[in-house]
Amino acid sequence: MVFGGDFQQILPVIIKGSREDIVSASLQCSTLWPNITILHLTQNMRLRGDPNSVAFAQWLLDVGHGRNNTTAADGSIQLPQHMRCGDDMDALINAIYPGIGNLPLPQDHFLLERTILSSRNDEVADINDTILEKFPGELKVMHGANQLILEEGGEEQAPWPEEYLASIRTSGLPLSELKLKVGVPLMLLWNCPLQKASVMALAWSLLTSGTGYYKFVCSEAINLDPLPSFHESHSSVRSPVIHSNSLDSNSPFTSPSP
Amino acid sequence: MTINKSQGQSVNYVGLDLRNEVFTHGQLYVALSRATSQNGIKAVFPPNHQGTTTKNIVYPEVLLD
Repeated sequence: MVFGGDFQQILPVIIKGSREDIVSASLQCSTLWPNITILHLTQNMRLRGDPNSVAFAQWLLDVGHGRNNTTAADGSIQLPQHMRCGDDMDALINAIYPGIGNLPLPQDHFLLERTILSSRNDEVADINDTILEKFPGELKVMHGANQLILEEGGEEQAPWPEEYLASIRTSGLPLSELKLKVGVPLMLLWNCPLQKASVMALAWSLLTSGTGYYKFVCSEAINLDPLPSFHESHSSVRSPVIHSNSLDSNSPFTSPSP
Repeated sequence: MTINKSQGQSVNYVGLDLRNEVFTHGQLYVALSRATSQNGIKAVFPPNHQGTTTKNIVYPEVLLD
């Protein structure tokens, strides 16, 4: 068996885990580790086209290790000055997506070779909204789950306000509103029957609240020109249950064990 | 997208939202190493922040060398 990976990269995600929890979930702490033969890959394949790639690849390794004066004892690091881009997110969006607000629509590859990265889900949602607003075309908003259905054996509780359900922005759970325009890229993270519906807004996910089991239910499938299978519009699609274990601690829901 | 979701991908132009600093091991390394050249990386820092200083979190105990 071959394991591939790079310990400079992000370790397994442990919700609210301490440093010790995260480290102990990584492969070196597995009982298999003493039996593993380590092979090293030494060339940065991603940077092959960059003429200054050797120095940059070495700098990346130093950053990944926090060594060679890249990173101070308090964790602070100074990035190369040329990476600084203006003073706000608008400047960054204009630098990464020049002309994003203009017609004609950008070619697919234009969008696929660019991205803006943030460490936080809520910031990503805000950035996506901002870029989508600039993007030409009519906004289509697909509404996801807006009700909770009591599972068999669950305990009846007062209904959660729709506004609360719509406000949840957390890892592993889709946003309540999927905002799209023709031409924007979309990442599908689940296997869903694309031949039946082009894109699915929200599937259902199982969450618990106290002793009551509830399902988020989606009854709306989405189709946007020019995606295929348009004739199947208005059919509803369900995905497997999503076990979300990352709702924040002041959420009334907690996750069932998968 | 989030830095975590980008792990494993390559893109030519990477914008980094460093208004909030990274919060765990490897995030800054993953973010910086998504680009296919260093000139493809641009970053935005917190308001009223003049330089290019941010946070890098490394747990040396998981690194092999």
